[in-house]
Amino acid sequence: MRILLSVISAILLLTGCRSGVSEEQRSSDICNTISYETRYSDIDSSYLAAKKAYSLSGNYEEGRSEALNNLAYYYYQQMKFDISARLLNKVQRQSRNQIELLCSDVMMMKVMQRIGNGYEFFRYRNSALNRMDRINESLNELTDHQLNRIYYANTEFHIVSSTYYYYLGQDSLANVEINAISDYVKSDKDVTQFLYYHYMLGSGGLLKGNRTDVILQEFDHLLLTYTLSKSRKITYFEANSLQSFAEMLIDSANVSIVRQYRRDAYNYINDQVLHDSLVIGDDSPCTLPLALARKSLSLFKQYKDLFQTACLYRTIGDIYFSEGSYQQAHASYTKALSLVHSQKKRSSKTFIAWMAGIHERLSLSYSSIGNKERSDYHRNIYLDLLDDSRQNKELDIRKENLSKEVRDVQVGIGLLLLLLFLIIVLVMLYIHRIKNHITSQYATLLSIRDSGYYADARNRIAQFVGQQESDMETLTDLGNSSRLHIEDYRNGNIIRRAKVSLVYAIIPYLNRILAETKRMKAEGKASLERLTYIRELITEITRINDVLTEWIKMQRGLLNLHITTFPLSNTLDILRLGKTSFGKKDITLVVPETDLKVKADEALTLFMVNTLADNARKFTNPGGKVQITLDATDDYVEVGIEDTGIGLSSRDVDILNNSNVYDSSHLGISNDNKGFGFGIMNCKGIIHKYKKLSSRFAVCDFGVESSPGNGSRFWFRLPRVLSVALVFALSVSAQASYSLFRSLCDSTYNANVEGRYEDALLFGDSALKVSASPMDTIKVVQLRNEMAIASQALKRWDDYRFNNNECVRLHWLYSQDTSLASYCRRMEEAKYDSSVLLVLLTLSGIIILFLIYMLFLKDRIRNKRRIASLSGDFTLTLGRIISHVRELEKLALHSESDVILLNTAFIRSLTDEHDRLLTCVQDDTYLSGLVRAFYSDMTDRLLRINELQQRITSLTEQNYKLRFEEDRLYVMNQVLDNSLSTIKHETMYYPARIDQMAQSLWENTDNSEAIDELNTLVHYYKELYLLLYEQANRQLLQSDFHSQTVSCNDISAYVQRKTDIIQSREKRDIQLTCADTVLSVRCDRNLIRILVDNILTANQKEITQLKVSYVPDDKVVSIYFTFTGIRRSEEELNDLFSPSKDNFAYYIVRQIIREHDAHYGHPGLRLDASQTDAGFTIHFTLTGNQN
Amino acid sequence: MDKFKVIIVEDVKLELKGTEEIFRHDIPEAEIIGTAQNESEFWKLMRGEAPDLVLLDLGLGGSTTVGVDICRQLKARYSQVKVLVFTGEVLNEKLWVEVLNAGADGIILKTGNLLERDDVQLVMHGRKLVFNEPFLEKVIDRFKRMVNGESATSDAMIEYEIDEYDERFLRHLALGYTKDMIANLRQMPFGTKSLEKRQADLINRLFAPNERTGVNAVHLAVRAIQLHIIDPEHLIADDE
Repeated sequence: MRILLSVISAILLLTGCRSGVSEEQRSSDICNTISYETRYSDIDSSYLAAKKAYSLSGNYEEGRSEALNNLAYYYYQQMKFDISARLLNKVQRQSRNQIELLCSDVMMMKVMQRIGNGYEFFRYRNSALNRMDRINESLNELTDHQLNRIYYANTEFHIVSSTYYYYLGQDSLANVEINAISDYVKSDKDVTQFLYYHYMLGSGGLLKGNRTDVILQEFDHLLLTYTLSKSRKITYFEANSLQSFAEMLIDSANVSIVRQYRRDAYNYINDQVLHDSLVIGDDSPCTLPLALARKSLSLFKQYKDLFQTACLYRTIGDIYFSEGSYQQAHASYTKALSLVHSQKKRSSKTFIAWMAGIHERLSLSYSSIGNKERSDYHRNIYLDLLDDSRQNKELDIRKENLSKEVRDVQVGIGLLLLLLFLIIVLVMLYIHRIKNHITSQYATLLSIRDSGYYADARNRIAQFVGQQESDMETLTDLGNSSRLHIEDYRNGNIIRRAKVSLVYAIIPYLNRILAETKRMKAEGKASLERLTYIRELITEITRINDVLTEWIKMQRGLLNLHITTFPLSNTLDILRLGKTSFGKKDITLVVPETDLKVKADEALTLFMVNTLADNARKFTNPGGKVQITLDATDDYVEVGIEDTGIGLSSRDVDILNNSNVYDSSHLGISNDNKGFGFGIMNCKGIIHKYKKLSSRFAVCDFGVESSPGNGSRFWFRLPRVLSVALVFALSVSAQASYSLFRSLCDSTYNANVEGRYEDALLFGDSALKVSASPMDTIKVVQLRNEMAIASQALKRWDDYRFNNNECVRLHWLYSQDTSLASYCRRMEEAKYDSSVLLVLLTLSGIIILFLIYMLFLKDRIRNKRRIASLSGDFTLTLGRIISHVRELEKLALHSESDVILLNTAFIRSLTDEHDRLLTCVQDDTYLSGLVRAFYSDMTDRLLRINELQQRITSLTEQNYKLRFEEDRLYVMNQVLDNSLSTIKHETMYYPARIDQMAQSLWENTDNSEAIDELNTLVHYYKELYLLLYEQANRQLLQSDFHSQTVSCNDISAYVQRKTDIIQSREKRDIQLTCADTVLSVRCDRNLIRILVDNILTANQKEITQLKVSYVPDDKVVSIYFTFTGIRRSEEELNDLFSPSKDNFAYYIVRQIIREHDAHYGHPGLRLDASQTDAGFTIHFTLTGNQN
Repeated sequence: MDKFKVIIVEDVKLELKGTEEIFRHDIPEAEIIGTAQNESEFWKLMRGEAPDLVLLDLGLGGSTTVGVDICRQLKARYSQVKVLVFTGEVLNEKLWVEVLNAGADGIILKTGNLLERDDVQLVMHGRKLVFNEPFLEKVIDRFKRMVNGESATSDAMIEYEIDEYDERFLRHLALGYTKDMIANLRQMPFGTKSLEKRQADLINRLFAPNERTGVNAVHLAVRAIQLHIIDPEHLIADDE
């Protein structure tokens, strides 16, 4: 296709070239030639000639286009880029002449280079390259004039490319471009292009090598340019070469090189310039560079080149600057800037690098004359302009364009393939029909079940079902783990209940002591008898306290905090669910979004946040606000709960912050504040627990801030986990030096801001030393900029030059975009491909239409068509099923219930389709059978998805409930632990003190003051104790009893299982007899199992023979565990269920019976132990099953 | 007070000691003829000499409420023996009711001044329902609350100007009657339409202006219960 298009364009080109030669055309050509040849010597003549050529061209298209191109050059030279581009566009639109189109492409490149539009530059460059290829194929047919134009276009093409790369600092590419025409220009065909070539090489920057060589080579190129242009009066290059000489000779080192190796030439130039300045009458004394520059300036003014004139002012400024004449330099730069401003009036587009250079010089000159503010102003403009001229600025737009193109191409190709596929299918069907073989049609239909498509659909469903099954498995596992936890926690809970009841066990003794002290008080003296009794009671209390301590110690290791790292957002999300309860009270709850993570116990954290938020809600009046705040440091996150409520007095705040135990009823302003203090006490307890756990939790803390009427703020701190911790650890060393580098960069900047320029340079140097490898180009560019500013301020011009050049060089390096050219080419190709694709698609379309015609209009066999359509339907259905399952997979990720809805709707649509097809083929039993089999197979498979999904949904719900239960029990246990340990710690002191007081009373029984004191102390002790007990007991008000009917045989079976375990553990035979019975009891199965566990473990070391029997007794069933061979004294058995260090297991048994008694409304359940002939029996009763 | 014989049922030895001391000091008329730490010991004692008074603890050993059962059997078998319950179950009100139903002559809570001579004397003189001060404090407290609740009802009637038809209407709404059904009641001389008006009127009386939107019959009935206008414990329908 490419070849075809090339041929067409060649034909067009030749027709364009061979048009007849009239008088009019000749004059037009002559005018154009004049315009072209005078463009560098006399721009006005060039303009007039071009205009003339245009008016003469008439119908001569080639001449007109050339005239437009020449006019475009004129406007380009005048920096009226808008007009220039417009004229060139006109050529692009109107001309069919490939040579002039090429010239206009090249001219466009020049314009785009000036206005800094890289993308358009490359677009025209690619277009020019294509045209050159095409033109080169038919060079023989061209006239001399046309050949000259081609020569021009070719050389100009490389010159402008080289200029483009040169300005972007891509020197190597610039070099390649300029060298590409070295052979061309040797032919001396076109003197202006020859001059341009040498000027480019001489003006600096393109040649590489040792300095002396480079300077000398450049000097030679410039000398050639100068002498030739002067002799031919080509002002532009004469002026340019003089300017370049001036720039070269600013540097005294260059002067000495030239004077040493090119003495004659140097003197020649010197004489020339001096001669000229005498001619002009400029006799002010000046150096050679300045004289050169002035000469050049006058030439450019004469040539009316605004751009170069401004450049010359800049050069003159540079010369003054290097001589230290800052004021004059500044005046020169200001002139240059005024020219820039005047250009802006001419065109909306401007040459940014040009402007930038002048602003940079102004910044410098202002700095040199001590105007720092203006200097900074120009520097900032300069930096902005530099950034604007970034080559990769268009990267984002391009990326988008490219991906769109690629997408289009992909879609095109996809369509094409689909079409091709269809064509193949249709052709096959066509052949099939020619054969007219009906049985093979059936075979096609039959084979649908073996087709890959069918297997695909089936696999897809199977895959989804597999996923569902694995989800179910995961859910089941989760549920099981929750169940195990719940069982654990319930066991733990009954143990804690037993402990709380043990706590209660000392209260009767306290009452006794209190009664005794009261009596002593009434009697006015202490009797020894009473004192003895009090001391006995205290001993008992101490004993029970010891037992409690022992039990708490014993169980400590069993249940630990679940420390995990979790995002606080989980907790806050749950809290947010409670918004309605706040809304009901017309209180706004504000919960922040966060991605902070902490290390703590998740369930307890939720408990704390909930408790504190609940408190806040309770104490805030309608219309108020409760707000959760999060403040993070590197170490911890402080969660704050603020309210606009009634607040607390300073005494209350002090109590809450500093005491571990207090009477909540004395806190708060309102009377309606029961439960206020307990929640906070528990929160504090949890925080203390963290602190005890590990030093990692040392940051944990809890506090209250409040004053009456101003609301309260409760807060707690948890250790923070930084999300990037891992990454940080891995790259810690690199990070360290990098962060040092960054902080040095920042210091440099700050020093500049504060005017400490010496420091800034120092910091900058250190930063550069730290950055051994360029880690962050942007940062280094900024650093260099800062260093340039500092050295500018310190008037160290060499440092400034160096740093500024580095800044610019790195800027270009960073923004370099080497892919721009290939990108444009790809864009062109993509467009080309799209048109080819279009042709192909159209052709394919026609073929398909033709085939469809052959297939369906000629077809007379109804059955054949039906089968074909059936097969299509099946395939379509399979396709739909596949995409449906894909849809389900997506849906299953976030909305499980929608899976069933969607699937059901889809199954319904399948059924509808099945019915419709069935009516179509009802007269054919074979086909209808096929339809039925196909649809029922698919429907069954899809129904399976629904079935599984329902199970998943119910499992999820179940797990949610289990999880809730798990958390509830867990928190309850933790809170109970806290309460118990508070009781232990806070009341330890009193018994000993009471004992001490009783003892001193013993020695002085008449001391009524001491009796009073004792009475008060006992009273206080009891109140405190009751308060703490109440706190613990409050947790137990949430009942955890699950009543069930359990057959006594079930209990026996459990005993059997446990006994087997003990047997294998103790390696001893145990003879177990369990009476078979029809009885059943109402109980909590789990608690009864714990009861059995405890009875058996209490005796596991000695047990050899056990009999379990059941006796019905009115409404209860008596259960006997008779141990034979274990001797227990009567006294031991009497005290079996009372608190003692060794009887914890029995105390739990007692608690379990208590729980049953309480749950079933106190039917008087028994628990006792008695001796038998050869051992002892534990007897307990449970409520019988009424049925 | 004449001399009398007593059996003390108490499972905690130290407490038993204190109780014995009280008798020895304050009630010298009492002759302690036996002490029992558990149920079987007690019945063994009862098979011997029958006492005039049994001082009974409710929880013995592992059986925490066995005392109720003991009391019931004791009263059934030895109706002349007086039973004074001496218990630490200060919170378990239900147990008090149970043991009183089982025939106990009085309940002394093991707090405050514990067992006092006067209380024992009253029991021995045949007084039923003998309670010590802590017990009475708790009962009276409860009684006060109940009475206050009841007077809240009559206050609410006045406060919200509830007449007998209002009361009847609200009561039947609470019982789940529809307005049609209420209109059919014998003592309700209003039709459905005027009941609807009455309902709107009641909503205005019982709800603050900002709460009135969306209030239906259920809301209204619940509010009436909250305001003590109708008593959920006495929700009885009138004849139709």
